[in-house]
Formats: sequence, C-alpha cells, structure tokens
Amino acid sequence: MATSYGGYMGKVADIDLTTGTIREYPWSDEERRLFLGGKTMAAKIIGDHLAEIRGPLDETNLLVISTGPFTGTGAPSSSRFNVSAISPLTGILTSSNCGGNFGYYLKKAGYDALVIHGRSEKPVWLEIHNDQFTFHDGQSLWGMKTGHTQEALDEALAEQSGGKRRKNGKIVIGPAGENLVKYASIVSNERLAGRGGVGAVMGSKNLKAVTVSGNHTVPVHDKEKMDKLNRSWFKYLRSHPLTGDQLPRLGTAGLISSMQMKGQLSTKNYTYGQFDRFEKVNGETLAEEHNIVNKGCLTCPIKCARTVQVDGKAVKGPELETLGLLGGGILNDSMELILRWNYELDELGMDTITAANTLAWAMEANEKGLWNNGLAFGDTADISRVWEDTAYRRGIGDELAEGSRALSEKYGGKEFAIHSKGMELAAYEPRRAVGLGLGYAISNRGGCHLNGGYLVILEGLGLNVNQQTPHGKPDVTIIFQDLMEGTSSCGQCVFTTYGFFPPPLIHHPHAWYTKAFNAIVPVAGPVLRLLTMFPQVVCFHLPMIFNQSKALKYATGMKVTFGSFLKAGKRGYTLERLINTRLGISRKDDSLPKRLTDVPQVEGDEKTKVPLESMKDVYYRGRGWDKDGIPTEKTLKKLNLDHLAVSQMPAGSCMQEVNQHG
Amino acid sequence: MSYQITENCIGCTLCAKNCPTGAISGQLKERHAVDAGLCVDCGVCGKICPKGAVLDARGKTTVKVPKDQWKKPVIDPVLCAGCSVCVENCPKDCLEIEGPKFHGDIHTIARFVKGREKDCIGCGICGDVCPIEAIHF
Amino acid sequence: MVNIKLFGALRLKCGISHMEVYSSSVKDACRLLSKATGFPEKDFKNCMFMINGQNARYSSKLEDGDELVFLTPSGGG
Repeated sequence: MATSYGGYMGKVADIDLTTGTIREYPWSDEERRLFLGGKTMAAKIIGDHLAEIRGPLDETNLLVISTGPFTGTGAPSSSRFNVSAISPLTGILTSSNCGGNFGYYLKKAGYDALVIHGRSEKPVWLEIHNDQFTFHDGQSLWGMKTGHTQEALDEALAEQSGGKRRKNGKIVIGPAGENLVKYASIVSNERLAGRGGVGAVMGSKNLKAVTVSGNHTVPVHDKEKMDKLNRSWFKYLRSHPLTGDQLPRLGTAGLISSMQMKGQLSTKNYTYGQFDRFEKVNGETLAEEHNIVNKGCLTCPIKCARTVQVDGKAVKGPELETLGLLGGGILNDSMELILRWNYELDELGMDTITAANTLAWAMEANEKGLWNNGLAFGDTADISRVWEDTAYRRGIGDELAEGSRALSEKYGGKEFAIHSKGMELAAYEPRRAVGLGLGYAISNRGGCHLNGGYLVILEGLGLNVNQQTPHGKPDVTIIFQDLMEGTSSCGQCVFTTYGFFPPPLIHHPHAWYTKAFNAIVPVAGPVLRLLTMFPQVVCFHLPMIFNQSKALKYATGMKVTFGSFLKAGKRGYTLERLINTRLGISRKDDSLPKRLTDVPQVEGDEKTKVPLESMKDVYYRGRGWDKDGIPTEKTLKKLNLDHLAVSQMPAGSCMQEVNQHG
Repeated sequence: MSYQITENCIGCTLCAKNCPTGAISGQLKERHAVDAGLCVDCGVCGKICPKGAVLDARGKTTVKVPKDQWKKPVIDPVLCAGCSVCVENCPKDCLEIEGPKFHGDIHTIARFVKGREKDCIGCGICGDVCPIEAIHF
Repeated sequence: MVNIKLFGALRLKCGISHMEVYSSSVKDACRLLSKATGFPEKDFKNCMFMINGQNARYSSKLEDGDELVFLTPSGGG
C-alpha cells in the first residue's frame, strides 16, 4: 500500500515459499504511524498471525525482515535491519538486529520489509531485484559456509548483469542454520543477526539466501531540514566521549577492563565477577596488538567493529560478549584462540553468546559430574572441533546445539544454566549491576542486555550510580527500554542513544553535577514514573542529546515529539510482551538462574546478588502490567493496542503443544 | 526514471562498454536500449554519446562532454566521517575508506582507490548520497 | 611504591599501560603521569579511579604497595 509518509518505500512483500507466490502484504499508514518499523512492525505482523503459527520450526512460522523509516535517509548508523520470528531457542518472539547492508539495499529494491512463510520443497535462494522475485536452485550453495556462500552469490548475480558486479545486499545462513542449530544466525556481510536462532528458522524453510538490489531512492519528507540535522548529528556523535572516542578506539571490547574492575565480568560460567588474567583478553590488548583497522556498518560514523587477522586473512574481530564469554567465561586467556573461534562461529553461522554460554554450562556440568562430555574449563585445545560438531550436529555437538536450557532440563544443573526465558545472558555479571539483572530477567526476547534496558552503563561503566541498590532502577529501565525500542524501530543502531548522556557527565566523573546525577538516580523513581505514565507531557524535542524524534518528524512527516516517540517505544515493548504472554510467558518466566539471585558474588556480602522479585513488582506497576506480568486492558487501551487480534486472545492460548518450557 | 536511448543511436556500443552496471545492451550498428531496473542515473552514456542520442532521467537530451572536463569529487577530510555510503554507491568502485594513518588513530575517511582516480566518471552520485555534504565537485 | 594501571581510551591515546611511581595521593599520581606522558593533568583527573579494587576520589590518599587504576568511562555492548 502506497504511503503518504516519507522515509518509507510503501511496500511490504509477502513471500510464500511453499507455493513460490509473491504478494503485497497489506500495511497501512495508520500502522506505520503506530508501529514505525523494525522490530515493532515485525511484532505487529507476527502478532496478527500468531494463532496460525504451530511451532518455531514449522512452516507456519513467519520470518519477518524489516527496516525502519531512517534506513537509507542518511541518518547516522541507520543501515540496520531487523529479523523477527518465533524463536526455536526460546519458544517466544525473538528479534535480532543486524548492521549488514541488507536493509539498505532492501529499500533500494523498493521494499520496507519481507514477510517470509511456508517451506520450499528443495533448498532455494531468492533474488530480489526491484520488483522481480526469482527463486534459484540452492542445492549447489547448500552446505557452504557463510563467506563462500556470499562470494558465490556475487558471482551468480554478476553473471546476470553481463559480468559486471551488481551491488547488492545479502542474507545467508551457514551449516548451523541448515542443521537447525537452535541458535543459528543470519549473516549479512560480516555482521550477524545473531540471537534467538533466526538462522534455524530460515534453514527450516529451506531458504539458503536472499539477495536484494535495485535503484530506488528513499523519499525524505523534509530533505533540507533532515540534511541539516544529520550534519549536526554526525558531528555530535563524533565529538561524544562514548560514540566518538571510546567506541572507535576500543570497540565494544573496551568494556572488559571496566567490567573487571567493577566485578561485572562473567567468569567461569558466572561463578565469579572477575578474571585474574583479563589483561590478556581485554579490549586494550585487542586494539594494541591485533586490530588492523576499525570498521563500521554502512552509514555509521561510530565504527566500533574491529578487523583482525586469522591465518593471514583479515576478518571481523570479536565483540565484547564474545571476548568476555569465551575468555573469562571458560577460563581461557588466549586472544588468538578467541579471534579464531569468533571467525569460525561466524562462518558456521552461530550466535557466539549462546554458543559460549552453552559450552561453559557443559564444562561445569562435566566438572560437577552431571554430564560426562570431556569438556573442562581452561581446556581449549579442541574447542574448534566442538563448534564444527555443533553446527553439523555430531556427537556431543548434537546436544550442545539445543542450548543450555534444554540441556539443563535433561541433565540437571538448572541453577547454573545462565539463561532467562531460554536465551543465554551477555557477558555482564548482573550481581554487581542489579539494574541490568532486572533487565535480563524481564527482557522480551530473553536474557538480552540491550532489550533489557542496558542499565549497566549507569552502574559503573559510564557513570557511577550505586551498583547494588534496587531503588529507582526499574523506572530507569522502563525509560531506556522504550527509547531503545523506538530507536531500533526506526532502523537505527541503539548505540546512537548513548548520546543521551550529555558529554560533560561522561567527561567529568568527579564533577559536582555528575556526582549529583549518580546520587539522584536511585531516588528519582517516582518522578520518572510520572514520565513513563504520561510520556505525552513532553510535547517538544530534546536538544541534540536525543535527535531521533526530530529526525522521525523530518524523515516521515509524522507529528512526533519526544513524548510521542517514547510512547511509540512503549507501545512496541508492550506489544512484544503481549505476544509473549499469549505464548505462555508470565511472572514466573521473568527469572534468572538461582546462582545469580540466591548466591552472593562476594562471599559474605548479601548485597551482591540480584533482588529480583522486589524490582519486578515495581517494574510491572510502572509498565501498567498486573502482578503476574500481563499487560492490563487499560494499558493496552492507552497504547492503542486493544483492537489487535492478539489482545483478544487469552494468555497462554497459543502454541501450547510445542511450547512446553513456559 | 532511468536514462533512455533515442532513435538517433548509431549502435557504436560506446555507451554499453562504459555503462558501469551493465544496463545497456544492443548489437553493433543497431539501436541500444537501457534496462531501467539496472540504470543508476550515472549519466556516463550521455557524456560519451557522439550523437546526442541519450535522454537523461528527466527526458532532456544530454550533451557530449570531453573526458578531461568531467567533474571530480573532492572529499572534505574534516567533515567526512567515513560512513562509507559514497563507497557503497559509487558505480565505478573508485572510492574506499582509508584506514587510520598511524597506530591508534581513529580517523577513517573516504578517498579514491589508488590508481583508480582516472576511472571516475564524475557522475556526482557520491555527492548526492553523502548525508553530511562532505563531498563537493 | 604505587602500581599504576591505565585502561580505556586514555591508555591508547597516551600510550602507556602501567607505571610504578612514588606517590602519596591520586592527585600526585595524576601530576606524575602528566609529566611522564606529556598529556595535560586534567585528562588524568577526568578518569574514574580505583584503589585496590575500591572506588576512589581525586583527593584519596595512597599507601605503599597500593594499586591505582585509571578507567575511562565507557559504554556500548
């Protein structure tokens, strides 16, 4: 359906792999206004078809690949695209955001999103060029690793344009996706939509790859103002201490040292918060000894990605989570090995976070005598083989491919299976950042730090708010989650939201205003509560620190203020929760393993554990959910969600037979 | 809208040889045609056509421009943030992101690939897509 | 003797990762680091400090054998 808004191409493709038919998916301007794009749009589409979905790897599952209104408009860090589906790992809604160039080219092809369902009889790959959709036989690509697959696709496309390279965006899966590893990822260039097993969903549909190309341009509602804003926005991000200095210099890996110092670095499967040999596997070592050049996603001035060498080949370097979990997490102090594993996991198409956590769980299970699998902490000689075995489902790899929740249900050891709702946590140890602990537990897609509000940035990394107090944290979590949800829905990287912290706060940690800020956060709960309940009172745009609302207005022509942007984020977050409650999620699932809630990290210091239940109460109230964590009718009405089909369904009514974890 | 070739075409194949995306096809001494789905409006066909047989995206007849008068992009090294939008959109793959000049430098900016400056067709696409107007001609 | 360690963006900028100095306070250590690296004293002053794993302030005193860590505020993951 054509659109009157700028920023959108106005078309969503509905692709049925069973029959090979392509239709236009109905998506109205009203829906664009309410659900923006990206993960929120995907949630709406999946929610509308929730009753038809029989299981994550069933042909009825939807794979929704969506861009946001910023993608292709020139806004900084806006080339991102989102992949959503019902996750084989968690059994609930998952969304995974990726910085490859697929989203940028999807819009060039004239589409805002792809809705893929059904299952092809034989392996295929799909070529989208402007309005032409062509299915190609994927038999020759099947089995190839992700790097080779992408090269082969480039060759195949060039052949069609008379030998001249056709610029295109691609998504592919590797052997892990083909073999339905529960945490297989989708790869675009060197970037991955890693989490939640979206690669397995694509594999279950026998879809090896999608390429997009075209020559459309994205219309912008008010180009002049947008360009002017972009110029100052780029400048601001490049001058900000986090996005203009720390991230380009050290990448995300730069956090390892801070986390170590603050006791937040997961060590030995989250037994400890500090790793004695961390200096061999931290961001500084990566930058000083291994990084060749800092690289970034398309359209991004931040450039947090690293390039390193493995066997003489320049490949993508590890992110913080990979470094932390494959370093201290399994007591490994070899940077070279982590670089190699990171590359191997990308080539196989697997999520490094879940893979590393599952491995750490298996090592501990072996140590405790629960599962005799030959793996041991610190024994790193054979790990490369473990990754291969997992991707091809051989030997113990076949079991590791199921993730730590399934394994702990089979062998015991649930208290140290570090996941929430089935998704393993990122490398931050939440017992010394209790706000993030709450975030991990309530996060919509499971144990995710970004979806969980990323409070650790306040709790010791960027600022120095008391790490152990639960006060004020739930309310800040809500606001951060809503802002990040909105930003992500616009197709922008959530790292741009770090601009939200005015540079002086970061630059001067000992200034009176920074100390005041640190002291105020724990007592600011009630005031922030007003903002979360009545976001519309902020009927203006914030200056510079949060440009997203203004940019959305200029790009699309919608009537947006900071308040309504916040509300859109809240709508998205609540909608995702609503879908999850229909899949059986409630308060009991917003949990952390006992190790993190019952065992203090520092022996004898009862404060160093996550006081989860009390924070959950405050959080639910702030969100307008009932005591069981289910959004109330009043909340749904306030957010214009009450008319959706999914809100009419009773809680826990969908997919009961396959979703037994709930 | 893409470029088009009129009946004035004599089939010299110059445009087809120079088209960076392979959008132009046709036999020698026969009228050529532009594939609207592949054309990126770079305009090189119009600039080299000896017969003025090319219409631009707005339907105006293009004029032949000698190669030494093609405009060249100049990248402002201070403004450029190395976001690589120009690199991704350059139809001739003339641009790249320059790595840091010394260890620890974080400045990455766009520049010509060494030795490919002569390949630039002066299409101006890089300047159009640059979100912060760091490219001038 | 105090063992100084640097982490974060500042370490990459000024090029030293650790140093051993005789110093009685954080303030004094900042002055010495500035002298050794040529970087302005305020760059070091604007770091987070930790002495033996505990948060510290610019005015904190140091004792022989202490480990003083300079952290640049960071974010992103």
